[in-house]
Amino acid sequence: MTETPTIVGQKRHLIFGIVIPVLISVVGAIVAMTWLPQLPDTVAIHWSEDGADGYGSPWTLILIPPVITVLFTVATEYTVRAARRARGATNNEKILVATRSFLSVILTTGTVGSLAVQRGLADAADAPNISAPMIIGAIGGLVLAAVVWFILPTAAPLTFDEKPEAEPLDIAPSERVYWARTVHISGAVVALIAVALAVAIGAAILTMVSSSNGSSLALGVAVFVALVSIGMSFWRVRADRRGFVVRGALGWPRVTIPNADIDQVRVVDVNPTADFGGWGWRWAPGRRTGVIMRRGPGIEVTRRDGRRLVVTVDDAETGASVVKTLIARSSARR
Amino acid sequence: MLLRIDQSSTTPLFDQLASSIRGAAITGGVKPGERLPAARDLAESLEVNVHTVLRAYQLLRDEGLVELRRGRGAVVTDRAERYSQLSAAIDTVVVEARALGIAPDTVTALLREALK
Repeated sequence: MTETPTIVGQKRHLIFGIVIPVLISVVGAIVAMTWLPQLPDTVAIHWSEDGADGYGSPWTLILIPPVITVLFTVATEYTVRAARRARGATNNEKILVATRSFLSVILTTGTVGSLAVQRGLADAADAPNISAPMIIGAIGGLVLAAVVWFILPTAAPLTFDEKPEAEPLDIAPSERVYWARTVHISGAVVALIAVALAVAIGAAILTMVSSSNGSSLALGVAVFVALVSIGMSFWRVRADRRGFVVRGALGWPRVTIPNADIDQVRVVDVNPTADFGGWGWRWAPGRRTGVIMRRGPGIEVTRRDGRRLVVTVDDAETGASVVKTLIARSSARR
Repeated sequence: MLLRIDQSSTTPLFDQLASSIRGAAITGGVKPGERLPAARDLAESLEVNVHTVLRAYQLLRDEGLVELRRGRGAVVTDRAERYSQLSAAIDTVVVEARALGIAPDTVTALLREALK
């Protein structure tokens, strides 16, 4: 029998990280399906402070929890599994796994609860308030997520280790240098963003169908998500005598670090989920900010006040050497 | 894209800048469709006259490596892709020369002769 390298807590991950959240949402959907004969043909699916104000097929409410739970579990399992294989899940990945249970419980309790109160009603307009199941769902979800968190194996430490500082370029003092590079996300992440966008737009459409007053807000959110995704997906990194600059495609966010403020620069090997909890403009422990577009080498600039900026970029080696040259020059000038 | 210019060199600055950008295209440091920094910005960075940068860009436009468009600045053309093929060919020459134990000076002399 061939043994694959053992991963700690394989069974626990399978049961509490995958089976339980999916099972809760599926069982909830099945229970709600048995109520179908007792439910009005159109049920209330949206509420405002005054009571039900949006109506639709009961199937909408029945299918939302299992579909979203399964989609979220599948979408997150890829990175979580890779991390568990490589070195064990860090806190960032454990949060993703625990979130599945939270999502599952809050969605299932919320939708099943709102269908339960509509059993036997002739007209869905009489549907009572559903704040009780929503609150119970939120609390229950948090409790289960916390339980899952403690059952899962202890978090692996962050993989970021200290590398030696970059070497300066071999150039004459009379030479001027300019280094720039564009960075963008990989195809796989583009796909993930497309899914997020589809969800945002889907939510906008659902809101439009179910209630009239929320539609412009939801559409605004979808457009905002689209703009932010573009702005956060393409970046320009530059190093010259004026400093180290990282800026998004739309000009914001923008981080400028004058060479005089830079203490150290090194090339680091970045693992997005483990070190920064994902891609994009990120914050991490150890006063690190990251512009994380992919796995692999990046430039880490440490400021004199201890804050660090990490950017994943092609040819990080050259970029770091340019920064090192420039900071040596700027300190020589003072 | 690493650009270097040396004020103390006898080669004109625009020539140095153009060959620096050409070198970046050959090694893949700048890719087709990528926009070169704005002339004013690059001039300020390298502490040269903006006309020096523009002259370098015009030189590269004349050889077809960049397109100059009003409002869009200098955009690298598909020719950069072919330049990087040249880089691969040069790598092959280097590997072959090393395998045969031919001195670098001899190789450059051979290349120079072949390019005449």
